[in-house]
Amino acid sequence: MAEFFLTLGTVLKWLGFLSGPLFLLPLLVLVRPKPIAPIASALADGLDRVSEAALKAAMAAGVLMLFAQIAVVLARYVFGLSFSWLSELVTYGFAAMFLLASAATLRDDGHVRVDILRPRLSARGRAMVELAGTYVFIFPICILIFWAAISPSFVRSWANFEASRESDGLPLLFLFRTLVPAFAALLMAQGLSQALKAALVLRGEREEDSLHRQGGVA
Amino acid sequence: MEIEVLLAITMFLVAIGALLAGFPVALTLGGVALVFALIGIGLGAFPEPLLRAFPNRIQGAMENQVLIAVPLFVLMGVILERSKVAEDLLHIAGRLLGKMRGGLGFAVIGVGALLAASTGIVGATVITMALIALPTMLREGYDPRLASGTIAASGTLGQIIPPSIVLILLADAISNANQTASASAGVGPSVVSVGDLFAGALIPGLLLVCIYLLYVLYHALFRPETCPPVSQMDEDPVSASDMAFGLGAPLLLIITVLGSILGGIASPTEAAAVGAVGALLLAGLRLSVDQPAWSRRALVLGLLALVVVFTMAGTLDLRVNRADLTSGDMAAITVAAALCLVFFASLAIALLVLSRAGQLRPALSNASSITAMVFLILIGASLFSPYSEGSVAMTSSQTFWRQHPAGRGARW
Repeated sequence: MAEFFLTLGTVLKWLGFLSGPLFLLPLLVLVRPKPIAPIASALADGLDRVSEAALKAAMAAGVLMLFAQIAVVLARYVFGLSFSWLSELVTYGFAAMFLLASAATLRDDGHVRVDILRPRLSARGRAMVELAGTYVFIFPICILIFWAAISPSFVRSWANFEASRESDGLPLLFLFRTLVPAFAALLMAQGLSQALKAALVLRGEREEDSLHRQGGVA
Repeated sequence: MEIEVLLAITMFLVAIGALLAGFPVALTLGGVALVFALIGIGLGAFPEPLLRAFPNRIQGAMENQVLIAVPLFVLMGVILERSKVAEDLLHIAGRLLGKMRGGLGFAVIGVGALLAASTGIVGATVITMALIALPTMLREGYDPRLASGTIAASGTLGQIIPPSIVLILLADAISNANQTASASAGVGPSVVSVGDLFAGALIPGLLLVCIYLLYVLYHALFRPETCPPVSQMDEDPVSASDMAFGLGAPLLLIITVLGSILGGIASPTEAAAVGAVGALLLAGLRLSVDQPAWSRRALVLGLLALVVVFTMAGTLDLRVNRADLTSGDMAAITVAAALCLVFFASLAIALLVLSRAGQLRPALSNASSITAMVFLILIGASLFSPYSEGSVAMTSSQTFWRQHPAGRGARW
């Protein structure tokens, strides 16, 4: 089993390296939009769907958290019982909820902005801010989180399928720790999608208001 | 001037500029800090291990037991919003108070305070109230400035009236600061809890409500043309069952949740969970009107089961891990366990009802987004804060930033 995940890790690593050039695609669209615009558009839509899938997982995690937490309350106040695995289920659900939903929230423009100058900017201006911000802020943050999260101790965690320190805990600590690099990867992928959409808007290849999905968080 | 101070001041100015440009606050804070940390490392002015320790801060947020209350309160608010509680409350209050001068204004403030005490998130409240109350108020001849001001002011009461998301985030930051402070001052450990902040914010929040009411009263008495009474009521007078369900149920939920936190009976996380499932059952009941009757009955049964279980726990000793279990205890425990099963089944039915009414997916996705938004600010700000730590000149601004994201986070 450990062998399999080691191979999987290596495959993922090379996939990561190979996808590196993709992050230049938004800039390429800016320089020469004609031949690559359809590919860029399709890639952005595909990445949006990945975030959608992660959002669904986050929603399920939210329900899980709620049910587990009310079970914790009932067990404690009514029966005087406490189970580590149940409390850990709450924690895992809670962490998965906000870490996995982050990318889709970026897509739906749910992350709070300061609306002082923004409404006065043109659609082109907004697309420019989006593109620059993605390269200067989102990508470095995600690379830092990912780089620091994939530590030797993280690799050991997977190699041993690290379990909870509690005797009645969940044997899934390695998955819990995987949420952090997953969060970074998802956010980076959505950042790429936003950058692609911004570049397409700047070159007039896409509707000006298509930067964010309509009907997202108000 | 020292290089660190210079860097810190530049970073601050760049951060303000980038925020004004309108990029998401969380990513701007984190991104600016990261860029300047890299410059600082290049100049030898910033210790690299601080950067490497950054994911530990994310881990810290993931394992924080207090912060779990945030998504639970968000869920409670979002579900209540989907169950049209705000609409019901506004209609009831409008019909009760509309006949008097300034009555619609009082109704809006009262509903705003009630919603604030039940949700802890703000944006949605303002939108709901603006959609329902504003057209009526303008049609009846309210001064547009008074009408919109009343709605905006009462809609944002959620930030100060507990359970407020801001206060939970602040409690987390303040309790850390308090620990550091009491350790360095050499006094014994003292704890600042979420409950303390809730208790502290309750009276100022209610005072604020009173001031709003007085302001509308002033207008009603001395400038009656700005807030006339409703000319004709096109709806029937409020029936007792409308009152009981529309006003009583949310009130009961508020009293249960806030009471158990302020009374020290339950932790905010536990109370929030009770509030969220309470909201879920109420929403199920409200939305099951045009659905099979059995689902309605099952939901009532579930609510009853919950009440009975907690009453039993209050009067009998149902703890399982005891040496002196009698057969009577065993029977009581079995009954309680069965009731818990009934309760969980009714929760599942409530989910089903919401899903059939088309409200489950939007509610959950909304709650996930709001939670992600709040916590991304927390993550971004945690990247921002170590950079300024240790520099005296930046301490005050650091406090500002730590509070600021919470303030912005609660807008939603």
